[in-house]
Amino acid sequence: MSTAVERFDDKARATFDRIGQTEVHEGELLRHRVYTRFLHWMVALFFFLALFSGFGIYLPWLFRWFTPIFGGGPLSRLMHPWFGLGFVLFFGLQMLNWVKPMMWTPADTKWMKNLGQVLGGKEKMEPPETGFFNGGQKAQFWEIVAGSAVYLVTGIILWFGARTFGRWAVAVSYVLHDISAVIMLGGIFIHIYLSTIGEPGTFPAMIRGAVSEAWAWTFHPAWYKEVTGRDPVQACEEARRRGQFESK
Amino acid sequence: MWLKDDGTTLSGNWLYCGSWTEAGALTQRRGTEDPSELGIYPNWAWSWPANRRVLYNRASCDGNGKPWDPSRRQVWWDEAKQSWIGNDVPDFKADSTPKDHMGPFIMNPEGVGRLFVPLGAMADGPFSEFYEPIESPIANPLHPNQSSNPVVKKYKTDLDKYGTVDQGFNVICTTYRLTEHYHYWTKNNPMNVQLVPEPFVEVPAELADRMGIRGGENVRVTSARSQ
Amino acid sequence: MSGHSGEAPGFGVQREPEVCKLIDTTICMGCKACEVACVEWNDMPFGPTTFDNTYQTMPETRWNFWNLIKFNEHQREDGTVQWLMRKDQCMHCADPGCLRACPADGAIVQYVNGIVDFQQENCIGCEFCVSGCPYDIPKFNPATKKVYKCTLCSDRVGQGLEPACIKACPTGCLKFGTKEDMKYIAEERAKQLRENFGFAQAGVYDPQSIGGTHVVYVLHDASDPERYGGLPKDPVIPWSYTVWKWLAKPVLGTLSLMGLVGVLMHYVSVGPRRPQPEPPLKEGTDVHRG
Repeated sequence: MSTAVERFDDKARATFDRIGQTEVHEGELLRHRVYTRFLHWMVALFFFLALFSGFGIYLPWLFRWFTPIFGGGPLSRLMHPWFGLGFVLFFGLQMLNWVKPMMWTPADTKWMKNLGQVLGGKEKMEPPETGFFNGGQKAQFWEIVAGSAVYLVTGIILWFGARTFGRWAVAVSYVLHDISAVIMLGGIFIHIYLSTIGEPGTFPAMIRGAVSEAWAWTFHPAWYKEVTGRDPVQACEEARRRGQFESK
Repeated sequence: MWLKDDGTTLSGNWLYCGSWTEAGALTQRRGTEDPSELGIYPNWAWSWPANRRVLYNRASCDGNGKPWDPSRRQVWWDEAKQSWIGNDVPDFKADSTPKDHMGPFIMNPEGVGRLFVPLGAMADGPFSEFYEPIESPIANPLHPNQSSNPVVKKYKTDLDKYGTVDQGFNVICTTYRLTEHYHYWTKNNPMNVQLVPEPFVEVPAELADRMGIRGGENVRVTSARSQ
Repeated sequence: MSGHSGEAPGFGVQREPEVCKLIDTTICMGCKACEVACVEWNDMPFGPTTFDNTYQTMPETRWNFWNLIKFNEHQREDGTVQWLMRKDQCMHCADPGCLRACPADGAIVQYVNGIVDFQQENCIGCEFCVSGCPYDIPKFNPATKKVYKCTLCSDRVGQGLEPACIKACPTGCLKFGTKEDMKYIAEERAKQLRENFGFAQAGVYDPQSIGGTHVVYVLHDASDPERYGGLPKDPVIPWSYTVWKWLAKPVLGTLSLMGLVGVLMHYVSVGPRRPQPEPPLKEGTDVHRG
């Protein structure tokens, strides 16, 4: 990414840090700054607004349940593209903010191959190469990037309709837009699960911006090492000897 | 079915009066029967005002109400019914007996047809003659020295100019009617205007090519008097 | 349900006959009485038009102008010109593309008698029907954000009257009745054109590629409907609507929701991933790993 982008991001991060704050307590590490948290929740908000307004238009049997939320059928259809634009805008900023830590590395390919370990719960600690973001997070990030691109193009075609783009363009966009939504929705279920009950200690990362050291050495050992300089496995063993456990 | 003044009938244009009755649209009838074989086809469409097919058809009978030509019986006087009847609808007062000598040409005050035009009715005559229009680009083929009608009234104001070919007026135009409008009366009626919004000229393809005109373009139509 | 084997008597019998509008393009003289009747009956506001080198009132139907005579000049091989006039309006397809594409509940309905009607109260203005229709008929009104088209005078037909256009036609080229009757009349007329009037290719337009239509044409040349103002020869609904709406949507939607079930199942079976170290397991506890 160009330095202009970096400067923009740095300025944005600095501005938001001035407006907000991130309290890092003893035994904690700074995870996400104010700017990141702000963007994440704006993206989440617009995602759900677009999702629910879209559900109403997606299937007739969902129509009755979801359109009243937005004031009826025509208004749902009217608002949906604007929500979508908001999503694309804020995620665009998030993309600029996160493109560096989200770059794919060989460690991530290895991580994906060992997906079974993550799902099966056999291995309690993440592999030592796992950095700020693990392979799954990066995969989802890039999926949203691709999905947003599809949304934007197909969404504009659907918004301006057959008069501007022709019948076949609209008919195909209809399909691609929906497929993108369904894939992203599946991903979001997993995302929400792993960010909340699936991995306790993760939610505060995006609420307060700070995480416990134990969380860090368990789930992002390479990042922990980078930030603290200590070996994650050793730190974990020390805590075990001292009898320091994370509360349930 | 006649128009009544008691509000029970409706007519937008008296020329269509009687063409739509309880029986439906009589103009859409397609009966191909012609019992008289005179080409009358009484049940094919509708002929205003009373579905008669030949005007002044009483003239096909002699003074006693008997058809001149027994093989072409259009209408005749029926003594028993005391009425004119026939294969066509009589264009005559139905109960006027032949003895009353009512003339068959009911639209003329004298009741008979005219071979020539009576004085006072028309300025020219007595027989019809072919004349070219006043602004014709060619001379009358029958008598070039008197191309146009000699007794046509010519006004003498500044606007009464006549164009000649030498002046450049070398295209013959004619006005005609549209289904969508009634002359220019309906120029301001939104429904008609929606159908045909602007006046237009239809130009033969060869003439258009010669003048370099393409369809849809604006053109200026000029006569010696205006444009 | 009844005492004997097989289907119950009367199974599948339709009580309401299917209606049909028959348009004989060989008799139409382009008088536009049908255009006027439609505007008048449906109380539609007038719109601006301009002269564009044709007698055709406007290039295509509008939200406030539902039927349109399309004028086309066709030059035959011998150089003579045929002036073709075809009344263009909704074809009331048996398998309507507009209905297939519409996501709103009840915005487009198809009656038992075959008429396809728009219920504007339920329309959300997404214009999917515009792309679903093979005849380019539904037209969007940007002010009300709804789409409009010919209703085959469902309000008149419901009262036992013929549609307004049929009533107004002076030549009798428009007829209305049951689909069976109209097809019969149409075929007879096409036969007459072929045998008595030298139109060897005359025929009836009732495309089976969309299951037939409730508006049928008699054409001088049924092998080339395109020359009648772009009447599509084999109209089809974009296949994506068919596959998507009836197959892929329900399947993908369900799979995606399964994702939710999946994560819940994960939570109750494998359980959450806790930051390490965890409190030691109780002595003698059997961690069942199945």
